[in-house]
Amino acid sequence: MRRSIDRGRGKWYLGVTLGFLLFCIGLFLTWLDADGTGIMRTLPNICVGLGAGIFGGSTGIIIRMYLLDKDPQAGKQAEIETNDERNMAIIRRAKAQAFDLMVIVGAASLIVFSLLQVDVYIILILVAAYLSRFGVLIFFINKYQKEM
Amino acid sequence: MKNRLEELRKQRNIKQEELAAALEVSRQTISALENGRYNPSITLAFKVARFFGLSIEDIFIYEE
Repeated sequence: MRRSIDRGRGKWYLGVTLGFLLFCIGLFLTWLDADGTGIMRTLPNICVGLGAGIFGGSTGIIIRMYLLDKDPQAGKQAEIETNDERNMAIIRRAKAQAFDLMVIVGAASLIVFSLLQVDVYIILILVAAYLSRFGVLIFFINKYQKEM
Repeated sequence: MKNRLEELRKQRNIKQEELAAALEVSRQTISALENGRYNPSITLAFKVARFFGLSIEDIFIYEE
């Protein structure tokens, strides 16, 4: 049992290591070629951003696991809170509201970008992103209609 | 939906925390159920009914 828990933890330790390495590589690349051109202009920043994100996220999960191990009662309570049907219903409703709101925000941002006269390919990317949410919505409606 | 949860709980001298732990839900869910702010799923309704040894209809009152 203990082994399987440790094995589950292994991926998060790997995340900490990889995140830290990626972060260091990003800093190293910045130091190596501060006035980089082409891909070297953005690659270090991507490495630093991704590395910091993976490192932070994995560290947070490991700390949480460690704290829950120290206090099993708190762990049980946290599990109850996570699986609580009312909490889950609240989260589902909040997500649905957020989606409805983001449809309006997305449309407004499209208008703003158009008025700012940005390049047409940026507008097209934004339109594709805006429309993709409806594609995903239709996909999940179909999926759940078959399942439920 | 109205229910007799608070009445039944108090009759048996059970705290909200204890009922929540027995049903494996949060204390806030028990409070919301008692105040009629939240209607339980059929699964939770069965759990509540079994906990009190009653039928669902004895606890939850359906009004059209």
